[in-house]
Amino acid sequence: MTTSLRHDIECRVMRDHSFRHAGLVFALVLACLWPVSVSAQGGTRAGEAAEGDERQITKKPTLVGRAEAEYTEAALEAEIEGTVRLKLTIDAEGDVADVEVVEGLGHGLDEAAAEAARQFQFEPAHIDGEPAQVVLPFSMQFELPQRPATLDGRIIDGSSREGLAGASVQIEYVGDQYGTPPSATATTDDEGRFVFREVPPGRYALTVDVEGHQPFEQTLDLPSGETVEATYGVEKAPVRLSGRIREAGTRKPLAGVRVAVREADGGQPSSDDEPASEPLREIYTNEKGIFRVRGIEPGTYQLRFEARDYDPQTTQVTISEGSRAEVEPFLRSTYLNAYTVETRVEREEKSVNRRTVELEEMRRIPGTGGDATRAIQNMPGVARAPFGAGQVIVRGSTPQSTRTFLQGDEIPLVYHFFGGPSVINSEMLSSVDFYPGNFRARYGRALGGIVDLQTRDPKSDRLHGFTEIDVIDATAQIEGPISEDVSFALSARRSYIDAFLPAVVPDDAFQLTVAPRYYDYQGWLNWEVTPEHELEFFGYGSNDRAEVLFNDDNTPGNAQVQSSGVGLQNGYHRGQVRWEWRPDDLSLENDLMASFGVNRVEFEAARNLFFDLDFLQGQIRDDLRYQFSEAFELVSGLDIQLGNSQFNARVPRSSFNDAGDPGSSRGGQPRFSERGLLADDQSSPLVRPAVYSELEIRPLEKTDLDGLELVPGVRLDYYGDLREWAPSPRFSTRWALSDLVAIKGGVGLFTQPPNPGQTVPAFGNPDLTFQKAMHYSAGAEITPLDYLEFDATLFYRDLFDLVRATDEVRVDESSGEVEPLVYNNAGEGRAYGLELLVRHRPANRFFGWMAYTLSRSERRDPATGEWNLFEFDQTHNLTLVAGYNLPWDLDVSARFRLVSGNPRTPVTGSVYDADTGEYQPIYGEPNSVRGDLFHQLDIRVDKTFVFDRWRLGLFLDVINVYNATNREGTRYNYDYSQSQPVRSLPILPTLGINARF
Amino acid sequence: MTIGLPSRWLTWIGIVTMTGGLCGIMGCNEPFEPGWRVQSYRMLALRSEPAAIQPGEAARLSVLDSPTPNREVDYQWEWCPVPTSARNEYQCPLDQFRDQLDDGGNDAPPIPDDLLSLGSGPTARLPYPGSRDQVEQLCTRLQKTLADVSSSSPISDLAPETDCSRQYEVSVRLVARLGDGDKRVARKTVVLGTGSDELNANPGHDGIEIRLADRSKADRVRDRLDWVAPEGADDENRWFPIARTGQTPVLAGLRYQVRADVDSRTLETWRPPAPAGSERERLDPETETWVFEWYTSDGRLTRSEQIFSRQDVSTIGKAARTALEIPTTFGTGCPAATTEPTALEPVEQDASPIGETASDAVDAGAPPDGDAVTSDTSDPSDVAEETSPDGSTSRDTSRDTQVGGDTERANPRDVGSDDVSSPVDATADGETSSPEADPGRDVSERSDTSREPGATVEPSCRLYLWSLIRDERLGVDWAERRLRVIGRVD
Repeated sequence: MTTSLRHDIECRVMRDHSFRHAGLVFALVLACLWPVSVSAQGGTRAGEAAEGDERQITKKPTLVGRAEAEYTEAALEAEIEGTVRLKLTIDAEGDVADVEVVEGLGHGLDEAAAEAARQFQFEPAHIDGEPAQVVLPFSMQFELPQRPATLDGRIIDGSSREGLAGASVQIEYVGDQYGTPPSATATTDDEGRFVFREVPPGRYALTVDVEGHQPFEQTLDLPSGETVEATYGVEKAPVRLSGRIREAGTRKPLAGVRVAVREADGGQPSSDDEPASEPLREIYTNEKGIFRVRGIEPGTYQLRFEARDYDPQTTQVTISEGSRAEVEPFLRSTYLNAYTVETRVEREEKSVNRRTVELEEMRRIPGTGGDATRAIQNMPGVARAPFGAGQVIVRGSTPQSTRTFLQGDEIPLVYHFFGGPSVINSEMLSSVDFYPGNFRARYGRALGGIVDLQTRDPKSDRLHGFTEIDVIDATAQIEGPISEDVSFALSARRSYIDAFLPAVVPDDAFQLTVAPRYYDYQGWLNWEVTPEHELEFFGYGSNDRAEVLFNDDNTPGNAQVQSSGVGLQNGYHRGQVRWEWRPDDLSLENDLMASFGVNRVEFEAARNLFFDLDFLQGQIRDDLRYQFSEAFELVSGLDIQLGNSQFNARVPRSSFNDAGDPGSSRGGQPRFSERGLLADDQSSPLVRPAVYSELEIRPLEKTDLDGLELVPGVRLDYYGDLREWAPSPRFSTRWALSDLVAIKGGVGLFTQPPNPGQTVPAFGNPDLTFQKAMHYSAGAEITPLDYLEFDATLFYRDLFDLVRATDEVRVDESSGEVEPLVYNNAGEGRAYGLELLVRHRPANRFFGWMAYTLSRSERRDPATGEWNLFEFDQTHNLTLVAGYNLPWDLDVSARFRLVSGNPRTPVTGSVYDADTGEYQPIYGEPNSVRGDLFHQLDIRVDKTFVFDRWRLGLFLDVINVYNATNREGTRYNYDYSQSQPVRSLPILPTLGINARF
Repeated sequence: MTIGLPSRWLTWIGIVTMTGGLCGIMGCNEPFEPGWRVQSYRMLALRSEPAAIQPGEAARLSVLDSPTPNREVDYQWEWCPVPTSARNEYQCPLDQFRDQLDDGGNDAPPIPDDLLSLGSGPTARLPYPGSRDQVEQLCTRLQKTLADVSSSSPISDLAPETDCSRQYEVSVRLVARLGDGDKRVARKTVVLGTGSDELNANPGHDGIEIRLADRSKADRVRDRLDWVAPEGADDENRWFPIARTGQTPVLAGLRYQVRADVDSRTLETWRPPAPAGSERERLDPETETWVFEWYTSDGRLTRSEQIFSRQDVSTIGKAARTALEIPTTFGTGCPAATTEPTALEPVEQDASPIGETASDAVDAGAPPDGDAVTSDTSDPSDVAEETSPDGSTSRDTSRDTQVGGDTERANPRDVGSDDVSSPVDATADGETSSPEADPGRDVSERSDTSREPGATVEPSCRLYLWSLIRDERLGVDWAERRLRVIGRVD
């Protein structure tokens, strides 16, 4: 008989508060109540009750010894917890005789519970006072042990949804499970992320504190062993204080300006001295110069603005309740226009001798009027031009042998009035690149050098303007954004010397019907279609005009031509489209340029002495750069010039000797037909296509000897007016031996066609061929600092088939008449020398350079075969240029030149030509006499007045400061028995004023 | 785009324009002595009469030069059948041409070495060399030869550009030596006709006329200058022809108008060659252009050169006229006028010059603007000549100082006080220099001073006036007159 005593006994497995490693769990049997089931054994054993007897449990079994049941791995992994119900048979001795699993959990927990129960030791139950065997229901509860939780969160701005860096996140346990409530604090990273690991599970209060945002609080549960991911958006606190900081005078937004907010002392503004207290807030302006302060209480504060190279500024602001205070300070630069090395994309030095003059330097070189092309004249290898004219005379070549380009488009006219100010306003340029020789194959049709003007993009940040007035002309320019991707610029300049010249020039000789005047204009539109494609539309033009009427009693002329006045007009208009393609996913770059323009020249001096020309010109060029590998790059392109000229001309009769018969020299003047010339509505087409290709090879790339670059190339021109092909192979190399030292060299053939007029049958010789030159150069560069460089270059060039004027004649086979040849290709020349350049680029408020050239340039006389000095030969040419930023917004710059005199042909006597009634000079050896040494100092001073939103500039540019008497030439009396020097410019001050915003 | 258009005219025009403009702004050096002021020996013109000759004719060559008191001038005339160049003083480069000219030259004219000399003296004679065909063939041959010569040859630039079937030009060279190594060289082109075209004739210069510029002063000065017309006289009648011989009195401190007396019948109409590039050979007939030049030994000319060109609708009367100012200081020391007027010597009638051919009268229409035109066909040459037995002529330059029996005071430049202006006076160290002393030396470099410390033209009271007319086809004529300053105007 079994007596069941039902006593539910629950045993609970206690948590162990010591957090153990996962997998180590155990169960504890707590004291519990359990139902006792008495199992009466039949028989007469003691304790057994007869069937039907109700025995009384007089003593419950008491657990006196226990064993622990282990959590099985399987149960842990499956996260099984619960109760295992057992039946324990406890014998009269108190041992567990039998364990029966009534209800289990599986995963080995049942077996574990049974095994542990078997080891229990009880004090035996008593039935009617006697130890007896009982059956005891027993529950063993398994609870998973407590594991640490993880909180992985992110704090974002409630509006922008962007992560907030530097936010302080705190969690604090709000339950009662732990004696000491755990807490922790973390700071968000740049993405606003934070993480709390090993967090005791439970409920926590989360608090977020972000500067400029409203406080945030929330409670959350962190279950055991779980990772909770959460994102919390916090709203910005209202802006109470904001501002935009810009540079005084330029309105340029200043990024990175430190703004320190402090309590104002008694509401009194502080000085600019550094206050001692720590700021309440410290903010930095963004790229737009804007700062914002949120969550600041109303009150009066002191704001201090600090930035490097700017004068600090302090101001006071009051924030009222419910309102927002704004400030717009302008910080003054410590050194205005300070010469600093700006971070720019370094264009690799792939040309043997490329010299670059930056816009800031151009503006400051005295004596150049800020003219880009005149700035080039101060470079080594460039001879001094007489009278300050703008000609660029490079390494013994004529001025016509050097071409000027505007972003690859050849400019038809470079100077106003053939040597005056440049037609391109320097304000639209970023720099000018000058190649004195051995230039790359993308340039051609030139024997001398290349001047390539680099335009800058119109400013797109905001509207800008510039205007300048000096003694000669006035300039106005405006530029700015149209949209985010489109910006524009317009510039115009006009001379006004015609306004006062008539009042100055004596009118006894002539009247200035139209005093010399010029204007030029440029306009461009820049469109960033996509990050890979950029389009630019560019239009520019120029016009010169002057007319002089001679008084009736003073008309120059002779029997063949009588002039009542002289009129000149020279101008052009041009449009250009450029497309730049820089694909991100391809190793290539492409630049396509197309231009079209019309040139017009009109000259008239008499009814039988005039010339007018209309020239339509188009140019297409494409430059493609493809990188096969790091060591191998191909540069290839197309350069096509097309055009047609329509002209009328008349040249009067002359006698053979009228043109001044100096024999073969002829003063460089061509001999036209004695009958004069007539060109009536004639046209002359121009077709000059060219292709070129170069390889940039870096054979030692990725070796210890990298830095070597070899550039072989070839250019093929077709000169349609000559019906000839002109190949030009070239080679250049540069080897950067280290970061400091590089050596370079080049050799190449360069060709140049005759000027179009020289092959026109009416005025020239259609049988001419193209001119040629071999360039050789070698040199070294040392760059000890970013802004300091030393350069030495040796050069030699061999010129042949040069076009020269000639007195030769030929017999026209069809008519049998003799006609002058006018030009031939008998010219031959050579030039060689050494160029030295020490240059300090704009940095540390200083820029400057020393350029010295030691050279010799010669031409062979076809008649004698002897070498004579070239007319522009200057043995020594020293130029010193320097500019310095002084305080008080003052800039000073100077230029000193010391140059050998030019050679000239002396006049040794004269003879009387009774046919013309004039004396003809007898010349000595050509260019056998050298002029006096030329020396001149020019100084320029710029003073800038800085206002918040604009700047006013005054400048004084003085040419020939100490009024040196330099001789440019010689003038003779009627029979060459007397002579006088023709002086160069005397001291000539120029005042100017400009304004920028 | 540039075209090699600039030429000597453009350079000249440019210089005039720029000089006026820039000099007005910047200031220039002191101007040179004007070329029209002749105060040392100088050759002013050479003439060939006729200007162009046909076969069988001869050209009479003469020189207009400034007188040199007490100095003999030795003239030497040469001619050259090939073009000459200033770079070697117009010497005949015959040696360089000889091979080509003698080679296979059955048609080329023989050229003996002594043929180049035309003798000495102030005049010479150049007969037409050979036949018309010979000259034409010489011309043709020369052109073809020079067309084939390379540019390295010194004669490559001497090819004449001429139509050999019409004419050929030869050079005449005159060397005038003054002693002490001082010489002057001049060149004149003489045209040899080879076709039937009418050749150019020299313009006709009949003399120089003078009148007061300010007629209101006429009555004040008539008592001293009897040639001055009364104030009431009309413009044309106020002109007074300056005597060919003798010296017309003038007063210092006055301004005079002088006018070239031209023979308008000699103003020709011709058909210029059409310019290269034209579809025709000749342009329409047009009146030739004349250039009037003036020179004086002292005083001031307002305009030394004027151009008459029908194309510009100018007038001969205006072009032929200029003004002469005799400053008050000029008259210092000059003897006062005598009570009797200076006797004017009659105009001489010269014989027709050798070789002169009558040219058809040119119909010039009405006289230009009604100016009086003389029809004096006398020989323009007004210098007395002596013909030596050998046919050469020379001019007695010493005669000039003796006209009128005046005792001339030595020029103020007579530093040596020897009554002679000589190079010694003009240079402190007594040295003379000439470019021939050192051909390689740039004489203009010597302190920018005058090359020649030459003799002055004339003692201070005498004033020479020269007027030249040049046409555009190498023709020239001139007149020389003398004025004498007899005092100053009150």
